[in-house]
Amino acid sequence: MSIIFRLDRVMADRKISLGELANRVEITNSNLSILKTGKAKAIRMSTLEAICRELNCQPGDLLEYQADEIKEK
Amino acid sequence: MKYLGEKSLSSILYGFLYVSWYLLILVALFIGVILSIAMFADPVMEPAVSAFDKMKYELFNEIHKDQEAWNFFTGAPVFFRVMALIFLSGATLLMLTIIKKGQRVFYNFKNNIVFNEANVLVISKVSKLLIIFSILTVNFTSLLVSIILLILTDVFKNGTALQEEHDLTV
Repeated sequence: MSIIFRLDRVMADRKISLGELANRVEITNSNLSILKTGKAKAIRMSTLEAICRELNCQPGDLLEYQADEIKEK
Repeated sequence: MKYLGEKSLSSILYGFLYVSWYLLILVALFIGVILSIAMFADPVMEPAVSAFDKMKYELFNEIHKDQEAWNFFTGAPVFFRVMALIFLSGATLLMLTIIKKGQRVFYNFKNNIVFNEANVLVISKVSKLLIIFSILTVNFTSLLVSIILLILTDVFKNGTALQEEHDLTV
């Protein structure tokens, strides 16, 4: 996937655990884990807003675009 | 009425298929044994001493009521009779497989597992098996059901994709 969620990096910077962030954002640990491991297919605006609020960051700090490699024939 | 989950239509259908699977096996075994005896054993003309011969005699009397059909069948070559038995066993096996697969789908429905890959796969297999069954038995109704199931497979495929997207939206 071209969009990478850099939650693990920001969490490490803020020294916050997965469980604590999940508690503060009010989502389950498993859902936060899905986000952290990049398995999520979509993110709600409300979730993004809550994560940014708790981690005191901008959405741009969490999301990163990486162009897909073009496969040569 | 509830359609999914515990104490629902799905759980009733699961129970029905569970019982009918064993019933079909019993009926198929019974008919198979009777047909084999009637088709390949020598007829007994009068009640004999042994219980087996007595049973055979009664069985022949019972079957011989429809004399014309029976004469046509017994007059046919052995190859034809063997093929008829193979055909009947094949159709029964196909029916048993369809019932078993249907059981699995309704078991999942009973446990509130509706849109997942396993169900899509099973419904798709059931529809294909039902097509074969309807062709073998020349049954238009089951052909119609199989076509509806094929369409339903695609609906379930789309539903599974939507469910996955919903589950992975945080």
